[in-house]
Amino acid sequence: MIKTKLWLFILSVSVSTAFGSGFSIYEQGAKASGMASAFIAQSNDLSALFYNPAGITALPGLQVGLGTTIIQTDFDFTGPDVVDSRLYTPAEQGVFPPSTIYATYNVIPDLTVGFAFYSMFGLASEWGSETQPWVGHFLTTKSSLQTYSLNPVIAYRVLDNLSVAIGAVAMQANVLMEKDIYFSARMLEGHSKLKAETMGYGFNAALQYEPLEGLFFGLTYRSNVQLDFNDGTAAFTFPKTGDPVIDQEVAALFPNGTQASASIKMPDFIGVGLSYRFTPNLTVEADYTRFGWSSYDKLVVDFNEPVAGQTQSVTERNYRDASSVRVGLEYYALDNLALRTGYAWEESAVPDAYVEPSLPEGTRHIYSFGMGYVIWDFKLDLSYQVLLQDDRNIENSVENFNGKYRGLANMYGVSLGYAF
Amino acid sequence: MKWYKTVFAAAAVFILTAGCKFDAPVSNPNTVTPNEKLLFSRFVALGDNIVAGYQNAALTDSLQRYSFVNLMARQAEAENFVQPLLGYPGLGSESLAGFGVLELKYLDDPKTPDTIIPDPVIMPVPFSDYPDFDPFDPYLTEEIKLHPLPYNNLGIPGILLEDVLVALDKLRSRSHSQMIDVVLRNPAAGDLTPFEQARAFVPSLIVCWAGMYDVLGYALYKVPGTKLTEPTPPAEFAEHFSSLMDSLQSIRGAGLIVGNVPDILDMPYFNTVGPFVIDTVTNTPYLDESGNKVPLIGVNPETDIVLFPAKNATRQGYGIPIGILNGNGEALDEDFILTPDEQDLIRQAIEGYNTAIDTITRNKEIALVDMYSFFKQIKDGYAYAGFTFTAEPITGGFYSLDGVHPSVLGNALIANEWLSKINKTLRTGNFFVSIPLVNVVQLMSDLQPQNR
Repeated sequence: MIKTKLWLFILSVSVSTAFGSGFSIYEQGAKASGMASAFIAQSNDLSALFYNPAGITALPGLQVGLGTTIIQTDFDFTGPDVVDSRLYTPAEQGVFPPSTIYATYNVIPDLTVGFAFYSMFGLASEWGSETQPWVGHFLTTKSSLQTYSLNPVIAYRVLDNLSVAIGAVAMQANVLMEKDIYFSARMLEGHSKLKAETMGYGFNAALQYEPLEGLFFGLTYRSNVQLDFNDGTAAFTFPKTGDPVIDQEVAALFPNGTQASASIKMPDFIGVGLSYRFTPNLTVEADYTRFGWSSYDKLVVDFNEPVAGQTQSVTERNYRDASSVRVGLEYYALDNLALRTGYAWEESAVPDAYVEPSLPEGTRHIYSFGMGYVIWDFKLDLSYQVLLQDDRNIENSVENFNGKYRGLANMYGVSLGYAF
Repeated sequence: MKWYKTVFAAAAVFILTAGCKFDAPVSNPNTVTPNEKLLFSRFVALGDNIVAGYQNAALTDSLQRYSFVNLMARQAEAENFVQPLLGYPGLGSESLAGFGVLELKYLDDPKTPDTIIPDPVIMPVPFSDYPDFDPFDPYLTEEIKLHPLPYNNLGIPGILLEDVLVALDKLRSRSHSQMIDVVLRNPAAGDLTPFEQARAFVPSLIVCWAGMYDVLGYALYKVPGTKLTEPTPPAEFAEHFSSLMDSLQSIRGAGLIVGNVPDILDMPYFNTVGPFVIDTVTNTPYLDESGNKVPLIGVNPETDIVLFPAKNATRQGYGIPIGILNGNGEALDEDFILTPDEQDLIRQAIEGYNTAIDTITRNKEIALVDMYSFFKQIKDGYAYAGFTFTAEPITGGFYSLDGVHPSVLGNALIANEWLSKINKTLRTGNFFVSIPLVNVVQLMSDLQPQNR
């Protein structure tokens, strides 16, 4: 009964937000999250399916796990200077639960198969409301991208201390972009809404090596996923003016529904990690990861019918590859109770000139705390992470939207695993 | 299974209490201080067309309200900034023919449904549609007409720089602009020039932006006063500008800020009509049997600029060879054309004026707003919080329908340039002035039909 509810919960409300660099999400298991996701080398629970699937060769029998991270965001913007350098706008606060479902099965002693469901990329931002005027409404009012990855994996223990894994990824993606538009000839404000969904494919590969007792090395790679949104819809709406000539002009120039297409190449990812078990109770890990965000250089949207005479809209993005460094620590206070902490530094993927409010990201520091508890065949992991983003003073925005972005997030993770 | 309830309850409490949050900043949005209000308490503006709030080829109340100087006054919460508001449809370049302000009838003429490029229909509003409007007594109200002080906005469309010091009325002026009488109200006002009226005001702040008309009056096809046979020579301009600055500086206790001259050739008026015959069905260049574009008669397509009003002449067949469309075989009137020599004269004049303005204001330590550079930014595309203003006619957002004078939003952007300069250079006591800029995004919303 409880399980059914959890399933429903996870499947129905998987909305996500941007918390890794760019719009990646790196919180995919409460055990890892407790150690600021420094987990590529250890990868010794179900979330190894995400962090380093080679690690699942260590999981005996059949295991299943569910998890979610509740992400509570707080972003604001002060500016833009061109309007008033002291004008303050908080973003609408969001709560997002990217969730995971993991399962592994040890088929023969050295071969384990696994199945993972997670949201590796996502963003959601909303600015302005009835009570909160939003000066950037021609840039964005609401943006969201949700991805859901299905990722079957095969892991094989090549040597006693060396495992490898390979997997296929199917990524389903939904995107929504809303903003206001301006028809200057008639000085009218309208609204544009782009919606699309698609499916893209990729693969992943990983390796885990234990050269000395208690010393683990991990390497993981995830390929680009090309998302071709071909059957999107773009709708442009304007309030009726009461002047039939103008209303007809607007209707002729701005279709209320036309087909739109766009392509986004999601970044590839590489991560390496090294962990060491100093005492039977204490393990420390350090990781380095890199998202290849330079794959996202521009957003080109093609319209089937011309919109204000144009059939294409091009937005320069010019993201750059973004690294992060993570360190984590796990200490067993009791045989069945682990305490964890960690720190991560994540580089921003968006250059200053291209930062805009739909993705107000920046360099981040994550401080994490967590605990794991084992009882009977259940494993329960809880984590709390606070993400503090460096204040970002933009002075060279290509949109002349200069000002200060602040951002933080509280992330509460819970994972429940069961070994049959 | 009690244990997990306890854990979840603990987690829930944790979520609600332990999460980090931002506080809203303590500093409030920019507001106007009493000292800043004092600076704008007796604010006067001198200059020509743009200062006056001339837009869509006319001066009329609904657009004068958005003159950049009135917007500046509004931002500084100056309560008594009085302008010579005129009724609708106002006075402008077509007034002698019985018309007022321009109106965009159609973005794409419905009579020519097959155009590939839209052909907008812009028409002046006839006085005959507004029988209450008297072009000889054009003021919006009696109160404005009989305002007992000089107007705070002494910007006069169609005047030359020298007129700021010498004009008394249409006849006793260099430019002979009909608007002089409307703004100065001499002899009733005591036969005072624009400068003298400003001085009589004991101003606290003077904005002066004149000189554009010294070259525009030469370049335009038809002007409301006397068409100039050449731009004011730069040497002469420098003399007038220097003595104007001396005069303005002689007004004690007044802040002074001036502007230079934009490159008028970037304006849509000079860039909308091409040098070729346009097919009336498609509104694209007409192609002859060998697929070549056909130059208008009298126009060198390589080098000449064809002025905006030439459109009306080509519609009647001028400039179009016989046998093509409705061509009458007659050359386009040379007044519609700027030859390379004429363009050089215009560029040299603007460069000369701006050199003089630059030198003189630097020597006399007068704050200068670089309107030349700002108008260049518009030409290159000026991004403002997600909307990009350009020099495109009608759709660019910056220029009004006449293709020369800024639109309402253009005026707001100009007001911000002036306010920014004031904020950077002027002080009240020991404090820099910090007048809030016009929130153009908010202005766009305020101008929506449902909010107007």
